[in-house]
Amino acid sequence: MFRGKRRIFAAGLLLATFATACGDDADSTVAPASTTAGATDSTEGSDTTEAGSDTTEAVADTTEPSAPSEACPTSGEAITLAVNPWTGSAVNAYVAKSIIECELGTPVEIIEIDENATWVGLDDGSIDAVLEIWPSGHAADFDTYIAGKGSVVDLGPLGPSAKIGWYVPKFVVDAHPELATWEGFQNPELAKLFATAESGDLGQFTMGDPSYVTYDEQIIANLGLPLKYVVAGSEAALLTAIDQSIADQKPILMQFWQPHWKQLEVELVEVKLPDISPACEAALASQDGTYACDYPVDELYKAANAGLEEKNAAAFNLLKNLQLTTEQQSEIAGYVDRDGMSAAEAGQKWVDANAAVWQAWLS
Amino acid sequence: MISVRDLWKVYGPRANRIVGSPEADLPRGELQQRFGNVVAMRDVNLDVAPGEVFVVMGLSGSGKSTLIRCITRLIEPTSGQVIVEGDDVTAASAAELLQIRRHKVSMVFQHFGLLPHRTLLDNVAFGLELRGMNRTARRERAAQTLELVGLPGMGDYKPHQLSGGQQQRVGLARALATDPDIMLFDEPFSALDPLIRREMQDEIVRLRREVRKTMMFITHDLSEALRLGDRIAIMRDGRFVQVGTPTEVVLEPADEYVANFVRDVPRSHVVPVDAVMAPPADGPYAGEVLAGTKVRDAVALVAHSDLPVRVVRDGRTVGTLDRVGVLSVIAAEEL
Amino acid sequence: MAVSVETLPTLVSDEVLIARRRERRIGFVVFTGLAVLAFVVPHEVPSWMDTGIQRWAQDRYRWSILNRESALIFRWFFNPVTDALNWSVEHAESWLLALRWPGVVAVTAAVGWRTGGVRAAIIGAAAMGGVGVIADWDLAMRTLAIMLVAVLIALLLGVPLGILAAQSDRFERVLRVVLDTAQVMPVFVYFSPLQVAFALKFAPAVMATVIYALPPAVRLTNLGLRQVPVVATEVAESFGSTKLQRLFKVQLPMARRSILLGLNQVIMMAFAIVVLAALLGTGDLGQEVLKAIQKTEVGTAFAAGMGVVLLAVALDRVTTGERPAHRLRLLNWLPRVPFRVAGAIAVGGAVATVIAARVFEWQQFPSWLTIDIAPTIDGWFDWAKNNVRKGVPVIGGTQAISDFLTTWVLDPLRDFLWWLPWLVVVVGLAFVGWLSKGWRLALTVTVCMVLIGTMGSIPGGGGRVTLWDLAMDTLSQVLVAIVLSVLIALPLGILAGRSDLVERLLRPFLDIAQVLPQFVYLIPVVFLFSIGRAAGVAACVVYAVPPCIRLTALGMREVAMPPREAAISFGATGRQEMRFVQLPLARKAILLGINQTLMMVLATVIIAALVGAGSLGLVAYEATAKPNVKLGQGVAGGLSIVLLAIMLDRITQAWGTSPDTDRRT
Repeated sequence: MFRGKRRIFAAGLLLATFATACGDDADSTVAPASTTAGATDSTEGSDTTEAGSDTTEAVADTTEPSAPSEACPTSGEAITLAVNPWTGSAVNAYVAKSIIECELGTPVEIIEIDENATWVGLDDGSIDAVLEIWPSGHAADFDTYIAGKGSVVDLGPLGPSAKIGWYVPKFVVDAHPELATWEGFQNPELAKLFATAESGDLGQFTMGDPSYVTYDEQIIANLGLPLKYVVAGSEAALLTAIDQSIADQKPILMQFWQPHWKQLEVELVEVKLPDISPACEAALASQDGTYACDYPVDELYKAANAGLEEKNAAAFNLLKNLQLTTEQQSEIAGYVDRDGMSAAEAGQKWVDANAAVWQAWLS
Repeated sequence: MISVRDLWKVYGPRANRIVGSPEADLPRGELQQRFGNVVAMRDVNLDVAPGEVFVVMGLSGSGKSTLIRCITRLIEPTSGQVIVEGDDVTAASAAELLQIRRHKVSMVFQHFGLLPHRTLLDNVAFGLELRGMNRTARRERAAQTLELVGLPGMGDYKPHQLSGGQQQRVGLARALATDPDIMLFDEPFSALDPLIRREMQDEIVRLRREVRKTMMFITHDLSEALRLGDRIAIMRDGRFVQVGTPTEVVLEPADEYVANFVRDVPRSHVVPVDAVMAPPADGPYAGEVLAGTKVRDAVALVAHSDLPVRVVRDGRTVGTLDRVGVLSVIAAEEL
Repeated sequence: MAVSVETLPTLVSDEVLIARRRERRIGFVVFTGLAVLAFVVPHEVPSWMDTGIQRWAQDRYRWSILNRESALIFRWFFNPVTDALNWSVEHAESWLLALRWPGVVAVTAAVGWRTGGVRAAIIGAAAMGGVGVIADWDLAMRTLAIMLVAVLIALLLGVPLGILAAQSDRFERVLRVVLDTAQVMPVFVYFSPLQVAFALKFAPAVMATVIYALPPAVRLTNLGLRQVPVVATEVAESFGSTKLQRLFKVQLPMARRSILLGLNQVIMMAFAIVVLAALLGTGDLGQEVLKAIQKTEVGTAFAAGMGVVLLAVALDRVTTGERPAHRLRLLNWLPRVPFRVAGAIAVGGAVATVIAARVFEWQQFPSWLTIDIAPTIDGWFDWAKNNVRKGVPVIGGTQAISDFLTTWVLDPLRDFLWWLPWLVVVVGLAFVGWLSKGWRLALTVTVCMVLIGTMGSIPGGGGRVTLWDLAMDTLSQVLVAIVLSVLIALPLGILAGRSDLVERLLRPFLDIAQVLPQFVYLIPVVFLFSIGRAAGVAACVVYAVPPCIRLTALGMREVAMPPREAAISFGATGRQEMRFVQLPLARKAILLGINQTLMMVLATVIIAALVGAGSLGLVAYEATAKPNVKLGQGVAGGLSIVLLAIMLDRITQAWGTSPDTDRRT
């Protein structure tokens, strides 16, 4: 295909370059290897034969940036913790990472991953544990993996609870105090404040990411509200819509939740929905579409791969015992969302200052 | 060298059914409409002797390209038999066919068919490479062949750097490089301009003298056919309408179609002196010509003197040629 | 062979014309009759048509989850493949990091020089260096490692498939449907299954990329092989080549250009999907984009996205080695060095750089070289927020456009499609197909549409919604997006096709728009157009316009000179020449552009769902969101999108290929 001469040059070029890369490495391996050994999250290197030393070292390099440099020396098979894309999830994991590495001497690898993708990883053990699950959004996963297949085990409550609800920006309630409760939305004139081109004559109710739990369509129908349910499709779109609403002072009604970093940035007010009644609990259980109450409180919980206990009993126990109060978690999350620290730094800072709290988890 | 027996090529569904049937004689449009078949070649028979140049001539669509492709089964004939140097091509297995193509027959193509991604040398060496000859040997041979066709030292050029005439020289070299006994030419010069075409025809004449191959040559150009062919076959609607020497074709056209074709050919260019000579006589001669010389080439000799010219074959006088004979030929041209 | 071709048309044309006219009459009668009939039958898709495909897919998924430890297909196929893929990516990454950043830039330059000369070397090195300047180098190397492995696999699978397709028309036809599916099926539908099959991180990400990026490799290999002149294959055969010899010595080398174009497309497609693959936990540049989007940080997302773009450009330029017609003028000043010397310099330079990089511990990309473009982008975005959305004279701004589009275009069109009995829609589209090409196409269209009818229904809107209704919603959006894209792209494409200046100005924007992860403009689109179908349409338009411009411009440029010269010699003005000669002759290419636009729009339906377009895209997205209960629905939704795509694709393709006589009548 190509001219022979050129081919030879190309081959020579590549060979020479890689030879340099590898060969040169041989004498400098010792130094970086010894320093990075401690920080290494995972060295995967057992199956490399030819490029052995070089590869392991390089893999160590890749994960280095995510590991705090003052980490403790570790050895043995790494434990993988999943971090889902919100602050709370990250700080829990980094708190655990710091303790497991320094107290148990076991390396911890953090994998940032979509929350739905997490479960498949928990199932096959490529993720050992996840420390913050919102039960409302993962009922089906619970049924499939924890109650059904048994490949994932419930590690008990994390401590903080979360709450999904209907929210409007504060300026809406300031102008129309009656919109602080659901009854206010029965008035078509008021509901119309929320109208858009999509919703036409009705008010628009905006739902963010469809993967989050939602009874909103049922609630709207069963309470007979003149609202139209519109799915924004993603949390990012919903957050943008909030910015837009604030910028224009144009009312928006949506499903939102606490805790969320956006709550620190803009003032949102939760709309009061009917209290949970026995009828609603029954509706939840039967999924018959008659739900018409407020969202239940989400008690966040932890889960691990069923093999973790056998793989590393100490770590399993620690994760099982690990609990934070709502205040503690929002304090650490605040370091990140408010003070701009990385999750790793925030976790470390809290661990350094609260030995008394986490010492109890180790027993 | 090459024998073709009852060769048919019919396109379309259930082609076998058409072969030899009355339907085959239906007008082309009707056959196509009713059965979806097209007869490209029908009932062709021919024999090419070793060292002979056999020219197939016809207009486009007459089936001549189909015929030449059936010789090495580039197109699979519908029925009939092709024998090349004693091997039955039509019955050959895939492996045998490859051997025939690699060693016995090679082909020169109308639009040269050079491979644009290869240098001239690698183009010429192509057939040898397919045979599995090693690189050094085949390149050496290819370089020699390039020299033979008048392109010495140009082996590292790419085809697009060459003129049309040069490209076809490479095509010729490629066919020669495998040293086949038989060469097939599919309208090799039709894409060249007249001067170059003439030059290439001379090249063929020269090669024929030097390397002595059996050749089958396709053309739509009558003068080319007359120049190169030992025998000419005229093809029309997929069948041979006449096969003969150039003289026969010009002087005794088999039908109206051939007659129309050859009408404008100057007789003196094809008629040999033997055809118009008088019986031998005594007497002084202005000179002598060899039997087989075309009349055109004897004109000067005859015109220079009142005396007749002696026609000689194998050193023996076989007849005399005078102005009357010559003029009769030339006069016929004007009719 | 030449025989039949040459003589046919003149002989039968009269009869054919008469037959055609008669067929036309029959067709009109038949379709009118069918349409009347269709009004009588039930308005909704009958529920007995539900084939239960949702259940079936859901059950397969569930079975896989429950049996992934024990089933043979996992133990003997998926698991080894997973290990091999992870191993490859990890090693590719470690090599890249072992080279250090100067080494990677140097190798890029050297490879670029080798394939495409000095120009490719400079562009490749500049782009690769640029990655470090605006994005995180280490994350970029991980992305590059994933891409290298994915592109390599796509080629290893795609080229042989393309070769097979070129051998057999039947195989090609089957493969075409498969490839269309791979291209249009929303990634979200097969994300969860891929995860179950290939676990986390790199392996499923590579597989998703391969599935998405494979089609052009197959298509362009097939095309390249089929375009090899007959005479070349005849030459090969006549000299006694075996099939393999012919393939490797003649056909493949001659199809090289086309295959390289395929490689270019593979790279572009692969990089376009990087961000989605990051959902699987790859921890690379794509995830950077995702994280920024999650926090609605547009500038940061854009910076990471531009890193992806530059990587793609670097990889593309050095692998495809494009040698442009007009060379950089600067290069002519450089002394011409013999090949050997240049080679020695390149090799030596690359080696020296790698050594230097390791000796001097140039580990991190130097911070003084990096530029944070995020604030600038945020500034632009803020400006756009205040000045583009509202307060634009006359048209009012994007918000007004969005409202108008929703109320006066999207709503009426969707409601009309909903108002029509479903069989009327089928018959109507079949009629369009028949008009475009004939009965065969009408049949294809009918099959596609009826199959959508068999997809069943999903819960929603207080009851159940049929996939058919969602498909009509999607169809209305897609049609509007296509019309808008073409309205925007055609004039620009025509302009670019006639003016070098315009083309040169447009090119960087087109490159960026094609590779920049779609997620990056998710937030601006929502802000400018508000949540809803209009925003979805806008997202589709942004993505679909570039290829349309490009193909239109290409078509305009490829019109041969002689007819244009003829027109000019008769005294045509530039405008007349364009109208009467260039545009008509470029019609085919322009229609091909429209066809591509359509595929792009349909491939973006899923992104549109993330900004509020709902309908089929949302159903498909939910397959990833809640695989345990909604995978089946997602599969049905994804298939419906594919069926819509195939239907529209075949119709528009017929416009591009049917003979001129057909179009005029």
